Amino acid sequence: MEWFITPETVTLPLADGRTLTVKKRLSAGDQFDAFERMYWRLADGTYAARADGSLIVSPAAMRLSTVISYLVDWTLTGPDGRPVAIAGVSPSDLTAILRNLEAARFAEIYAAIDGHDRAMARERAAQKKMPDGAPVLSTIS
Amino acid sequence: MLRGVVGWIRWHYYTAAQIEGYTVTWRKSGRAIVGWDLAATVVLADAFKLAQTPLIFVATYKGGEWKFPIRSYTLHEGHRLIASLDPPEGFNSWSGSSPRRP
Repeated sequence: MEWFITPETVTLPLADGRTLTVKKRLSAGDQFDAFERMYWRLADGTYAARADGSLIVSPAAMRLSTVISYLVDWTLTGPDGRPVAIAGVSPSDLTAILRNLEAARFAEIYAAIDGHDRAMARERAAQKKMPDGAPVLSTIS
Repeated sequence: MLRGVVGWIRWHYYTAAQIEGYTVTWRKSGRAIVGWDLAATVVLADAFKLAQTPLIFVATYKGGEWKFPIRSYTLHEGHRLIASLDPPEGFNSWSGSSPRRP
């Protein structure tokens, strides 16, 4: 496993032949940003906390944050048939765009990205079990 | 000359820097453009990402964006960026006077 991320993307298929382009892996910074977005914030921008001081995670924000962390581009079009550009937009602008999706379509996008996230987690777990330099596959002769 | 208020330097899908007040100029030999130069002020930067390659300067206009590969750059006083650029993606003519919006 490398120490630094080499930015790579993978293409995930959606229904109707549409695709998502997502980061293959998240960097530590991507994860920090994702965690930051998952907590409820008050109107003044501070985190909402329970009486015991623990911060409150928003289930909806968790999903949104996962999608924002991974999503690089897509082939979706708007109601007018024109491509909806998201490459390079800020997280706040991307949030606004995602909020305008059909709810079922957002769920479809989240499921695709969550599946990719889980696959990457399994891949990392498998790599941790192997010593550096070990072959990915070994043959029995 | 191209002028703009805000532009970005990207490393793959990451933003390595946000720049302001940029100008892109090109040098000619006869009718042919022989080089492109960028001058701008860096307002936000990630030093690690700025040290990686390839870096792309992205300048947006209504309905699209120009993407100039950065050949090399120097930072003066930590914020004044001077860069040598390759022609913008999709720019095929070295005898034109400026990049055309598609």
